[in-house]
Amino acid sequence: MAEPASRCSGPVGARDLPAGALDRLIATGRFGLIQLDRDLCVQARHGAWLGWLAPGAQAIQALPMLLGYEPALRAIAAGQRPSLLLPRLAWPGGPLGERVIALEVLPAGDGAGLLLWLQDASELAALEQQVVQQRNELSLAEAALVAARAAAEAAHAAKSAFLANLSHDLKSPLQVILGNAALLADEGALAAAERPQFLQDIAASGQFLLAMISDLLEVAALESGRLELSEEPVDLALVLERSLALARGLPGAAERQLACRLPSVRPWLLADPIRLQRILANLLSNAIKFTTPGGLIDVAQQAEAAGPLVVTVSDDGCGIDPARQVRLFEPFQTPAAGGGSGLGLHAARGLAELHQGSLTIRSEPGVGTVACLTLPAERRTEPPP
Amino acid sequence: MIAARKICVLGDFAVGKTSLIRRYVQGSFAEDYQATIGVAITRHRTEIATSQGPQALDQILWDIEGSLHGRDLALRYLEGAAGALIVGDLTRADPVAAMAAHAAIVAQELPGRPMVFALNKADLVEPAARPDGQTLLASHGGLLRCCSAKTGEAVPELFAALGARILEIGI
Repeated sequence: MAEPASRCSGPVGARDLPAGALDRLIATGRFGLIQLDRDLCVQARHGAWLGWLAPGAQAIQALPMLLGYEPALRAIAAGQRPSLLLPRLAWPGGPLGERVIALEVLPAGDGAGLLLWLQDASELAALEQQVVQQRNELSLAEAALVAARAAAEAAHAAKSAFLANLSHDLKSPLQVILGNAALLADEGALAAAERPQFLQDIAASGQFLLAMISDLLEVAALESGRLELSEEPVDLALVLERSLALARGLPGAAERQLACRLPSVRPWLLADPIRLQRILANLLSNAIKFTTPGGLIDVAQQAEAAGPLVVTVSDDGCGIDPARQVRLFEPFQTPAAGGGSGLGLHAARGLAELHQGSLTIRSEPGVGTVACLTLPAERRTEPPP
Repeated sequence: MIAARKICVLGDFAVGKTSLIRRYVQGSFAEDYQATIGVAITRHRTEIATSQGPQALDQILWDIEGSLHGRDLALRYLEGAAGALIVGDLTRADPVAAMAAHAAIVAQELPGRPMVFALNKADLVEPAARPDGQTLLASHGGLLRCCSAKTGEAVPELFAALGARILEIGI
């Protein structure tokens, strides 16, 4: 049986307490006192919630919160350090339960060892927890507001820049079309050998305008939620082949190598073939734009007979700067070089997601880019009879 | 006897320090945020792979309140730690700078003690948007990983790497 706590020298503040006051404090159940000898072994403990602590136990092992403080404890016992206060400690899952304690380590006096004065600070900690929680949540909300405002401002700036560029982007090909048409109409203006090139330029400008207007309409429909898929059983390989055939007609395609790897078993899926082709057309058009003449563009479909359907469009082009990759799918992100509306990838991802699929891009500057379209396994279907 | 070492887990508030410990020790995750007050201590016994072979280690994990950053109180809680796990939040602006501030305190208060760096909430941020944190490693060495307390990605590796470093340099 341990001595009453009042027989100990007691914590510094308690030494001047009237006789028995320390025992009465401990009897409230809110305080505890542990006496350690010079070897930091438990001599005695006082307090209803310290019964688990065996006398003779090594304090450092029994009380993990003391680990690392051995030099401090020995310094306090030797009178070289006044005390140590750890005001809020919880040991969830330990013998203190959910209790939060304040722990003060004090010299027992005359080099006799140490006193560990413990106070149950659970109530105070619970109040502090409410205050800190609210303060932290407010700070997080404020930070989120600041970030949202910055994002909105950036989006607005990008939209403004897009609109400013749009007139230029629309005007330039229109000028080519009108100028070339006027020259072609004037029979004496061009030599016969020159005329095919002027006609080709008109066609290329028309294609550019068509792609830009298609992107705009697609994004408008996607963002308003009006776009609905027209689903039917689709031969995925056929869509890839058609996309590739169209891509071969794009400016610059003839100077690139376009390869296609398809599995021997052609999978069918339930999808909107026009939208699927638009996704692939966008990826192929980008690959051609950002690959130098002689570069390789590889379209591949994974051969797995089950699971998600995965199509990749890889190129060995200039790659994408990491800073730009972050915002690649945001609307109005016009590439630094290569041109385009800045809407194509945004629309392509939206169309992939309408199919419950995903579109991701991995890129390394100077090495190339891999775009990966994944469509869920649930879309696999049998070919029509 | 099994070695026991104090390991402090530091970082700004709500970066997921408690969640990382819970994922590591209990293998679970809770969505709700509960601010830690002061310190919550967890003892976790594990086997660490070291260059000398596997070694048992009692990791006494000190989950230190994020709001105490840089205050005397936090410094008192750091005393006697064998190493520190510094946690940042990938969804916040410049998490590496926030981690660097904690790392500087550890380097000053616990010279020579190893640190590892956890960029948490990787499940919310695309790989291309994650910082590489090379400046932290250049200043303090150690290991930096993007991780997720929610999915468990890279969580055991971070604690194991810190444990191994502590045992190998004999702290």
